[in-house]
Amino acid sequence: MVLAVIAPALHRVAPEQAGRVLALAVAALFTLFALTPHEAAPLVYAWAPSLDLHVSLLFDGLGKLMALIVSGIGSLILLYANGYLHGDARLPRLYAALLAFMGAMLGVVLGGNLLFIFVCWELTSVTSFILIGFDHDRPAARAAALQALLVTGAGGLCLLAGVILLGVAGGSYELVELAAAPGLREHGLYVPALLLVLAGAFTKSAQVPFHFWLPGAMEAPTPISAYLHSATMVKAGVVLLARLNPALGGTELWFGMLCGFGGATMLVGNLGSLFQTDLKRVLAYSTVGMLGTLVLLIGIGTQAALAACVTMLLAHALYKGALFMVAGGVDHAVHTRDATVLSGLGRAMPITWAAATLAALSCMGVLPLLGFIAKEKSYVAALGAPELAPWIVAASLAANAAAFAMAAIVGVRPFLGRPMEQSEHAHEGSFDLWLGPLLLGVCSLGLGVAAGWPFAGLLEAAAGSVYGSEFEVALKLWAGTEGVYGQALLLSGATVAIGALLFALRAPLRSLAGGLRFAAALAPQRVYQLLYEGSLGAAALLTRRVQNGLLNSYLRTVVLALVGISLWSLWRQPHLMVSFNVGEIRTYEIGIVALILVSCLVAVRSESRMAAIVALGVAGLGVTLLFALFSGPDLAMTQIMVETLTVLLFVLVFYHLPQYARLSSSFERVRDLLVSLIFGGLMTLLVLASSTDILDAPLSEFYAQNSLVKGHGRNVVNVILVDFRALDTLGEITVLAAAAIGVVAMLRLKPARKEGA
Amino acid sequence: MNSLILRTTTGFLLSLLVLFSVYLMLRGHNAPGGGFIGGLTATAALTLYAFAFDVATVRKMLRLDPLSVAGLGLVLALVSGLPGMLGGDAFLTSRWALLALPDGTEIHLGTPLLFDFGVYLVVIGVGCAVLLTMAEERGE
Repeated sequence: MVLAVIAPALHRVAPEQAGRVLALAVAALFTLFALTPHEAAPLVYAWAPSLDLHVSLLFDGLGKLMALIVSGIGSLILLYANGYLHGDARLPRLYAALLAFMGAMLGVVLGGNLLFIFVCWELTSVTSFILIGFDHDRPAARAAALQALLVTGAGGLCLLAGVILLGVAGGSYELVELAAAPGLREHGLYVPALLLVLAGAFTKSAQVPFHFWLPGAMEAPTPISAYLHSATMVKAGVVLLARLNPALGGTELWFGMLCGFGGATMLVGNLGSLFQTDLKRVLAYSTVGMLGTLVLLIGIGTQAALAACVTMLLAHALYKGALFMVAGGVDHAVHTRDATVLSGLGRAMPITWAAATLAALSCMGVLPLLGFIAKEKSYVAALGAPELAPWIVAASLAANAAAFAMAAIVGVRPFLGRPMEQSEHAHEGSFDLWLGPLLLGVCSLGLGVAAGWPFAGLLEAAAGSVYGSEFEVALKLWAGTEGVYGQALLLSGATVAIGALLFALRAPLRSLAGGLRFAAALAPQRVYQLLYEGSLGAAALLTRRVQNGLLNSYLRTVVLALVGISLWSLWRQPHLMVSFNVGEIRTYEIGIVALILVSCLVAVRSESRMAAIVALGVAGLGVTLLFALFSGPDLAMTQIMVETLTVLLFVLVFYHLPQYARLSSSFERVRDLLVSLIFGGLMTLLVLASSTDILDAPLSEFYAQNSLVKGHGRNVVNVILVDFRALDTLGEITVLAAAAIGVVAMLRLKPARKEGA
Repeated sequence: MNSLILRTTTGFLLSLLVLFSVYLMLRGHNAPGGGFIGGLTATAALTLYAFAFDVATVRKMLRLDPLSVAGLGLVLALVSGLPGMLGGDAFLTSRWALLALPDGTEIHLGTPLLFDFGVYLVVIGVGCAVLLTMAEERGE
């Protein structure tokens, strides 16, 4: 986060090197994370203790794994962005937003307090909005950004409600304490809390039926898509579910919801990817599918499933990040991302080709890459599912086969075959552009060959923290052919066969099912559009009804609302005492009151505006006299000043006002009379009640006694204003200043409109 | 308005009224007065001047745009809340310093005074912004 602030400045100092320097800084952070041993106990700093909001950092296995992914890929992305948007004036803004996002994302994955996670969660939504709408002069980008924000924002609100319910049910917002809380799953609030949290996680992680925003988010520049919408942000929902698994998991509902939605998403995403032609949209759909797989695995919840989940998480971050960067590199070189056109680029871009091949092989789950281990583990998990195992296995098979074909389309096809027309101009991008994907590709290979070393221990710890207690995870490249492992291997074989078939049939598939499937996949999108336009229309309607522009009706609404609220609270007051014993009344007091009353009557009945203004002024000065008599000198002075300025104001606007006329019908006049009578009566009642009741006595006594001692002042009114209740005053003067800006703007605007008309 | 009497007296009155408004603000802590009343007084004085001469003169006299004056006041009020926060207390907790003059008088100076000055400026700024703009409207 700190880096986000200095990034633009740095860019100004060294425009060529800023991205590389920042990448190095983040890489240093990565190293720091890598060297810090993970531990289960959270670090807690109080932030807003009265809200149970603590900054607690949970650097356990899962936290460390995700922190490494976020910072590691983050540093490569920064480097990549430097190459991708080279020389773009908006680059500093991109760095700042990316780094701000990175900080928020680290907060999500390391947070140990649900409220803290929620705050960071919303921050990722906001930064994602900024990043998707990076090309803010394109309407499509703006619409996609808004859509992503609305969908994830709505989910975020659900999440907040769910988190609060959880906190009520479990007595804490700390994950560690929630996991240990007894009887949470039997609590009456468990079901609503779970459903709300799931709504939040599903929208963030683009589960069906909320998946539509993710392909839309591909409007963002490729570095952003690669980082936010494949490797990190969309995993936030998955991470949250993994985090909550020890506390909430293991129930029928948990299993059903996660497996149902996860499974559906897995199928829709992976199969949907085959019908796309834009490389980035292909990848986006396959990401949706992968997120579904991860949710499904958490839903299964067995040790094998969770081990598969964390392995898959790492493998996917590595290969999908690489594939996105490859797609961006290809786009950068030949200015198209159309999968039907691209071919034969391998010769011109050998390094990108190598990176793409490695990543694609890992995605296909081919021996000996990390993706293979992950896929084997997921098959073992599917076979070992407590219920519905055959269905889950079948769905996984279909999804993995589709993923195989998808990887071939994106990672292999563009580089083989006859060179395309534009490939003459194709060239290898700069160092910044190919280092990221290559490094990630090599990681996929290396981690596969070395069977997870040096990450095996970490993955074990991560799976352990999802499960709730440590258990052994055997990361082996070749698990043998015995039992479930043999079946898994068989399934892998089937995957390759079906995948290859799908790849071969990709063109007819696109044309045959394209239109039909596309419409089906867009259905939730249409619902979103309807809701969006509907709410806009409703807001416009409401505004027209409420803001009718008549000062009269505004005043009436405000007054009536005030009367209603006051009467209601007076009604609930059990011992309301009103006494008319106001003590001795002096003659001159009667005189002043009579003066006020008469001038009020004159003001109301007067036929000329000038007379009405003067009468109002007299009434105001009468009130001032009363204030002065009843020892309220501050009020009296303020009242005099306000009266003076009011007269000045009237003088200023006098010539602008239309002829003084009777505009209201007699019905309206009676109604207004009633309203003002009710209001006056209420105020009288309140004043009488407050002078008889001892309601406020302790408070005013406190002020009177402490004014000099604590506030160093003898004028109680002023000490209250500037010391005891200074925050209120601050709010008031802020409102005052804002109102002045509004008034001035309105006054200045009017003549301009006249000229225009 | 073109009145010689008004112009001549306003010249004297303005300085007196503004001085009085500052006095009102300063004494506010112990006696009737304060930033709000002081600000209103100063606004009235400035508006009177605008009547006697014209709006442009007042604007020139203020040097700053009235809205900037209001903004400055807001900033001052905000800043006055910081010392308390730095000391570990809540925002806007007052801090006092005792200033002893050579002749033995003691003056209590505190952040609420700064806050009140902020209020004073906001009121002047808002009042002048609205009134002067309206007066300009009338002139057109």
